[in-house]
Amino acid sequence: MKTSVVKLLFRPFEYVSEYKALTIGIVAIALSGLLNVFSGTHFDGVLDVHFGDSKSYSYLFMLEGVINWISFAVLLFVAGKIFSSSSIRFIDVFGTIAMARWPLFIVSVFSLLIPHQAVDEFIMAKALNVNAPVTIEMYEIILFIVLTLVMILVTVWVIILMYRAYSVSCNLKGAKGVWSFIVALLIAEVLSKYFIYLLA
Amino acid sequence: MEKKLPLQCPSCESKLKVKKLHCSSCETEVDGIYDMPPLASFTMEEQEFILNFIKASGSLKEMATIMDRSYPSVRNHLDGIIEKVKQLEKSKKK
Repeated sequence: MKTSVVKLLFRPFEYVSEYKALTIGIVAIALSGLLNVFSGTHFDGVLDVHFGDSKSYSYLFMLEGVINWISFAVLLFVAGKIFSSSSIRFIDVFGTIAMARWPLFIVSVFSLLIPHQAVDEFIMAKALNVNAPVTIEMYEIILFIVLTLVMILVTVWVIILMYRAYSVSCNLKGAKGVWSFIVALLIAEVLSKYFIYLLA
Repeated sequence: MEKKLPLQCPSCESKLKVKKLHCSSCETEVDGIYDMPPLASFTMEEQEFILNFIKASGSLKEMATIMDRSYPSVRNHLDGIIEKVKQLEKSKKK
């Protein structure tokens, strides 16, 4: 039982793929975007999570998740076509990569539930070297640390899931799989940030 | 307990060959050196996969349902077996 739960959390693509994975992924991306509108959390890059901007247009929060997913999935599909000897299917790569991003929904929930606006404004004021418009309490700092820890853990989890998604959908393992994944991730990070910048 | 057909020599790990065949009905014995059939080179799990794959008329989608696995993981399993067949053919040619 324990093994199967761990497998479902870290190796779900041995069991789920195609349209089922795609549906789970798209629903998670859409719900995350919706929650982010209210919490002012940006997923402005394949691996980026930033708090503290509720002034952006609502559509931007919704599109960020889609841009991050598609830009990385396209690059992994191309990498798979180049490096894998298996016959790769579009639906497997796009479906599993979409689903691999579902844990970011947890960050969206935490970001909505944990009040962090005061700390955001405080940090921003310090960064700009101006007088902070608000004072922050100790409990707010602790909650912000909790939120940051959740964000870091979820980001690591998402990277593991995205690698597993790539490995299963493109049948790539070992050094070839790891290096092509890292290169695609770095390019996707730059591309997604650029596309989001164009929309902002 | 189901007996497993040994494929490798426990001493030097070379591939084993068939030395003797026995008819349990009339007690006839055939002595000689015969190569193992290619299918015997696969593990029991792989042999089971191959048989199910034939029964499923080569449909990976049906295999995914039978094995309760995703389509790409079944395809990867098949690709692993194909790779093994290629290696066997290569080693046979040498």
